[in-house]
Amino acid sequence: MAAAEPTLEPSLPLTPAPEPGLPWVPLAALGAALAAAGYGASKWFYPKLAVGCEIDVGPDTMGAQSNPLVQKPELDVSISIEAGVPSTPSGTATLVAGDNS
Amino acid sequence: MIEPGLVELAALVPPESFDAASDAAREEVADQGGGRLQKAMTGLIGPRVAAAMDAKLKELDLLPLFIKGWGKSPALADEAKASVGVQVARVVRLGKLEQDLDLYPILGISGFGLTASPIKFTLTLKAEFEAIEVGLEEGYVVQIGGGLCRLAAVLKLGQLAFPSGFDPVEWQVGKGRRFAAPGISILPT
Repeated sequence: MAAAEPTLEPSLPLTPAPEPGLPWVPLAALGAALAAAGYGASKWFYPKLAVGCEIDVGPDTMGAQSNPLVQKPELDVSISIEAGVPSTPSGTATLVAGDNS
Repeated sequence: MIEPGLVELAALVPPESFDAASDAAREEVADQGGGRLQKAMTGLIGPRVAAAMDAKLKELDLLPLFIKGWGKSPALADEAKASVGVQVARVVRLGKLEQDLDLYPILGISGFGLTASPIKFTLTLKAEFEAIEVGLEEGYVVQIGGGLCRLAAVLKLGQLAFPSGFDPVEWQVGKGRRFAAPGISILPT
């Protein structure tokens, strides 16, 4: 009876066996999913509030009548221009002269 | 060409000169015996002097004011005389002509029920006309065209002159301008 040939068992598995302990990756994915679901739920359930603000302007209590010392000085500025007499031109008066025909 | 509304005073006189002129005007009011209120009023209007003067200058038609003096040039006066009694317009081309014109902006300030003494500035315009064609009829300048015009200005108050600080502003005359009949007289009447 022939002895069965020993079969070679691979000393190392081709794919690493899962490490015993906590499955970190699935847990992190689950956490992220829960967070996203919670955020979405909060957006869904939170009441949408519109906030408005209006300001009514009351009467001015610092008018010119009540305190003339703080009124802006109103000055009228007017300019009139008188033209003087032009000076005698200097330089080359004419280069070319002739009629337009 | 120099037409009403085209000349910007701010391009000719820097704002510092208006500030200095305003300060000098305030001192002048004091020297003339103006009261404290008048002096204070004059001091308040500094920046408004430039704006008011600029607006008024834009209403002025400067070119005819210069042209009225061209008859003082014997050569131009001869050309104007030669255009009298001739049926055809006489055209001359200017060489390089320099000319001054004094304008007198008179500043009035009123407020608080008071009117300050008027302050008379002098705005000396220095024009240089070059290669401008002048059309003459019956002693009148009827049109101008071609060439260019340079303009500079100096602001003065009494004997004080405030720096112009700018290079002359240049205008191309281009197609020119025709004046309303009969034109601008340059011969003594």
